[in-house]
Amino acid sequence: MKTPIDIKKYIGKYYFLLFIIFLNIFLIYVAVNTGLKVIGVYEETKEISQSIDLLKANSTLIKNNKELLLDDISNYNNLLDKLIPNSETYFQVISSLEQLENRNGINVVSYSINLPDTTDEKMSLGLTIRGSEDAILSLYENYAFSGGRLMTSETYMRTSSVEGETTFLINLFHTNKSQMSTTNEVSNTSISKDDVDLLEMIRKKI
Amino acid sequence: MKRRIDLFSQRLEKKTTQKYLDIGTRILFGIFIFIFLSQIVLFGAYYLLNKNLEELKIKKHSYNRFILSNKAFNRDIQYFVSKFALLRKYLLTDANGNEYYKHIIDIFSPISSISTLSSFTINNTRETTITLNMETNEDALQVVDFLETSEILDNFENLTISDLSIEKSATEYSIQLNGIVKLLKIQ
Repeated sequence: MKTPIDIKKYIGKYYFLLFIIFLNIFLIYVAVNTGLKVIGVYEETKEISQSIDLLKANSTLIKNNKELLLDDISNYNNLLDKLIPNSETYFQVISSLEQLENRNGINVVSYSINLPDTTDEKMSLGLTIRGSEDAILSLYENYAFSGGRLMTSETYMRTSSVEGETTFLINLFHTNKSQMSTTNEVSNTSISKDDVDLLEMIRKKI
Repeated sequence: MKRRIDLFSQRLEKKTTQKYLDIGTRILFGIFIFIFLSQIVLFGAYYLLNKNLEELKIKKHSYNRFILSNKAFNRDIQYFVSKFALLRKYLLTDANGNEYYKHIIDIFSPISSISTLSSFTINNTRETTITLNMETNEDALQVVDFLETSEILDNFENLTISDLSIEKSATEYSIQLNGIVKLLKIQ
């Protein structure tokens, strides 16, 4: 008789099938767990890599500039604070205009704020100045730093005679916190000897 | 009524069941192999990523230690670099007019005896307007000739005569030039 043998065979195959089903379910469970762990480690690696990039940039910044700036960095920071103050007040503006007058021998008759060109980092002023030719030429030569802070003039006008009363446009700057660079932006900056020379030149002029 | 028993019907059902069992077993075994291999790959990836992560942690630690040992300088240099970047940026807004004025005087010095630089304007994009005055027609012609020489053209990116006029009241000729001066290296 064949039938009893067939039943045993079926039962064996059923058990084997069930065994494989459970094994597969177990393996899927383990694989999902391992997959989640891999994703977790990958995310952590990505995060640490990003923070390492920042730290590396920071370290490079220190290494690149330590030798050149270590002794003088506080003085240079003070100088930069004078050139571009962290805030702007009416008295600071008046004080720098007075310094500009005294240093160059000119007289600032009046000033007006050029509103369209004034931004949250820059104050644009139109100065009406009076003085001798020498005084006005001295102003043209030295306006950038002789007010004790950074002044720039976006447009320069000059006629054959500069004596008497003339108009001079200047910009005064102050730091807007949002403009301060983050470590990311300053990462690979290396201050050169030329930069230090520029600061030294400014220090003498201010 | 005639009754018949199909002796093959049971056998056929058994055969079909067996066939499906075999197919199921094969498919499940295939899935097993696939998951098993995936598992090996996942374990490998997990091991390598973990190893890499450990290395990165060591690296991060050493960078942190270096920065901490230079804490004060780090704070100062961050501030310095930010402010210095602003200084550089703001300096670029300056027209450096006086330097360019001297440069223009130099460029036009060969015709200084026959012309006068009556006005000069420049902005921070080096766009320039120059007005030259001459007393005679001959002087004006000489100036125009000079404007076409390389002495002038080499110092400008572009230059055009925007106005050429004779004053009604006097015999004074005036030439107005517009253009862009070539970049000057300024200390």
